[in-house]
Amino acid sequence: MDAMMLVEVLDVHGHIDFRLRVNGIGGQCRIGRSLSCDVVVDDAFAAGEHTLLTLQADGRVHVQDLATRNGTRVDGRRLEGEDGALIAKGELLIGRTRVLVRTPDAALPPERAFRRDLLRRHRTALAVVGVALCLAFAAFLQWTGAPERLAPRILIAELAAMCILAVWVGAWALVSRLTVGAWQLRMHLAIAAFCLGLWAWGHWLYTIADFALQWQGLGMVMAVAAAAVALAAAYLHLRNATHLRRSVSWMLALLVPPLCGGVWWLADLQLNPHTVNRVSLGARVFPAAPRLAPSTDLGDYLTDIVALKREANRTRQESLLETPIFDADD
Amino acid sequence: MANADLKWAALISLAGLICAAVNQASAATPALITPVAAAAPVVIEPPGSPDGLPDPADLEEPDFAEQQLSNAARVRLDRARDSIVQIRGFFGGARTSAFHGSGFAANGDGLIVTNYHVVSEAVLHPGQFRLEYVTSDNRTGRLRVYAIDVRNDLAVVKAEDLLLPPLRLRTQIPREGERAYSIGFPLNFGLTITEGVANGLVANGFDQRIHYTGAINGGMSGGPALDARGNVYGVNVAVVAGRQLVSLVVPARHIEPLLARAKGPMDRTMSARQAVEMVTAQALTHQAAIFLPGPTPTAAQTVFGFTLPTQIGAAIECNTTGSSESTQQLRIESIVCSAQARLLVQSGLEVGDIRFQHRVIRAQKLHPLQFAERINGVAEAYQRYGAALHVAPFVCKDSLVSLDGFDARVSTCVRQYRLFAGLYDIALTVTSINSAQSAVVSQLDLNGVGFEAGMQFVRRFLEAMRWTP
Repeated sequence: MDAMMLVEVLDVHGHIDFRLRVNGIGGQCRIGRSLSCDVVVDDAFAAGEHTLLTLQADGRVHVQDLATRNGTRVDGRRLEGEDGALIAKGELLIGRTRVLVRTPDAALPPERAFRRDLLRRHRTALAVVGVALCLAFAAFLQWTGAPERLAPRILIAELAAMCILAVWVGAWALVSRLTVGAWQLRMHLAIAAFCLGLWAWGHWLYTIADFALQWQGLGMVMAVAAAAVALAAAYLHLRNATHLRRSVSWMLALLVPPLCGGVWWLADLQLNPHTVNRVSLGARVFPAAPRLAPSTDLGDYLTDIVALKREANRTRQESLLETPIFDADD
Repeated sequence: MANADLKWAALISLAGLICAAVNQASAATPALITPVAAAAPVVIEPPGSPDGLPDPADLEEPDFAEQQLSNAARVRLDRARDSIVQIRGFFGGARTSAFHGSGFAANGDGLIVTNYHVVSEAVLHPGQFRLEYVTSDNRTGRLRVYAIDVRNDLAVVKAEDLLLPPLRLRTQIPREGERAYSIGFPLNFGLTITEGVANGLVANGFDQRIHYTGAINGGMSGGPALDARGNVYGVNVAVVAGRQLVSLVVPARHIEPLLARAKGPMDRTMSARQAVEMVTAQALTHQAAIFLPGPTPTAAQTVFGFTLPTQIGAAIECNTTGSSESTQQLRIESIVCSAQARLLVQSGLEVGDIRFQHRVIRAQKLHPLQFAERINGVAEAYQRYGAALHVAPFVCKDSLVSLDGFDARVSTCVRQYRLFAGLYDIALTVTSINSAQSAVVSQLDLNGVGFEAGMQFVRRFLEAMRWTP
């Protein structure tokens, strides 16, 4: 096979802007701002004639910086001296412009198989089921409140649920359109509806379990589980839907659980502010629901709550440290 | 004519309705009793007449009886004038006062009696507040607190450079209908006397207070309440807010014991912390009487099968009201109980309050899940009150507890007072879980109580709850 190299200039988004094929041993490609170059880059940080690529007999490419001020970088490393570098494949940085160079010698990664992605294959059905979950929960929530006029309340709740879904789907579809070029509406609807529906029903089931088990640690366990699910889902989604590298995907995914937790915390703060009048009553009661935890004897409970005195003393000390009273404790 | 009659009839029936409504309201909500030390300037409406001058045609010769009354008040005021001082409190080095009240000389040693609530800031924060007197002839000087009686809202103060002629004390409670006068400095308007009628001791009150039907206003706190002979039968203390001329006076019989205790200025004989401990101790002594078991130790009321504690303490009074929602989904009966035994320990802080309520709820046509939602709503809607200045946050413990005949979720929350370390708020919520058709949600609030006494009360409260199908 004859010697050959392919030069590809990328735009700021990483898309290929221009592509040039050079054939034959000794074939050259000059890159720079000057019109005399083979590849002209529109980059204020590039010299008129910036880099010279020469195809060698062994099939590799000789990269030479043409004594420029900013230099040429090959795979992030700046070329030093007059000698240049020999490469079979690499990413050059000329000014701020990225240029990919490869030859037939460079190893091609194997063909990537289509993902047998459940989500993608059944996105229509999943979107329908997810939306149904959300709408059902909105109606259920109204029904448990047993309002005087149920039908209009349900209607309003459904509209509100649809508004939330529409805003969510719209926002992410727009992000998707801007980054990968496709709206992916059904896909985003399926994701949004499932997140919202599972969270709503899951939280309701959690309140039932909280009452049945009467275990203080359940809340923490569920929070950790929810954080793990959010982390995994965010990572998989980023890997599947974007071209981000593994490490970047992990870093972005790690932001998701604290972000969700923060929103939850803020909402809780709004509904039940952390004032001195905040009391916690314990798990919500469901008189008809099955109970797994036995009741405490009254005598035992009365013995237990005596310990509250010490805790109250400690809280007072903390409060006094935070905002002292003048000449109260001399 | 017939038309006019009709109008009158309508008016009369309307007035009847309003009266009924007022009565009901007063029965359902306890009246607010506000101590009358003035803290802020008061805005006063201008008089009705546009030019402020009465029409000469409306002026009449004064009636003889009226002249007698005015003279009587005038004579009392003139005799008492030299014995009365205005007490002003100043924050830090300020030249303008933070609050003010009144006081009067009560014995020949120069001891002056006033209300505890007038001087409470100076007692609790001696480094922050100082007291000064202003006599009727505008002499001023430094005042010091010598003794306090928190329960009776009395204090004894003294200025080393001031010796006023004392007023004579009358320890006997005036009978209903006796002519009475109150003197003080209302709203910083200068020395003022008001005339009214003493109505004996307040019935059903936890603390001894004389009911005076006459005006007492902010700034008159600590001023003397005089009988027809000009003797001091009590000390102006409070007014029932939003009511007409219902004023309260502390009987003079509590003054002598306090004068005997006034040995020296408190800010020199004890630290600020000791003063706080003294106030706490007096508040706890005051409460001990409330925590005694009530007239019938097992006083209880049975609603829909739930037997619920009512008058389980000495001064606890209860009301029962029923309500039925318009949709007939639920029937709710409420028993609301409280002990009118609040005690002011600091400006803006009253302790020793006991309140509880039981809401017995029965579902008519509700699914168990809908019923559960309602019960939770009732339990969660209940609001606790307290200022971050006075109390630390609550710490809570909840559990499913088996009570007599039924299981319930019992949540107990406790918080300690920041300045008064010996006082606690205890908030208890009991939510029954034995039936999907009927439930009781009980809330108990003990505000500013001793921890052990409060826990004893919680025990008595929980042990008195029973369910019989």
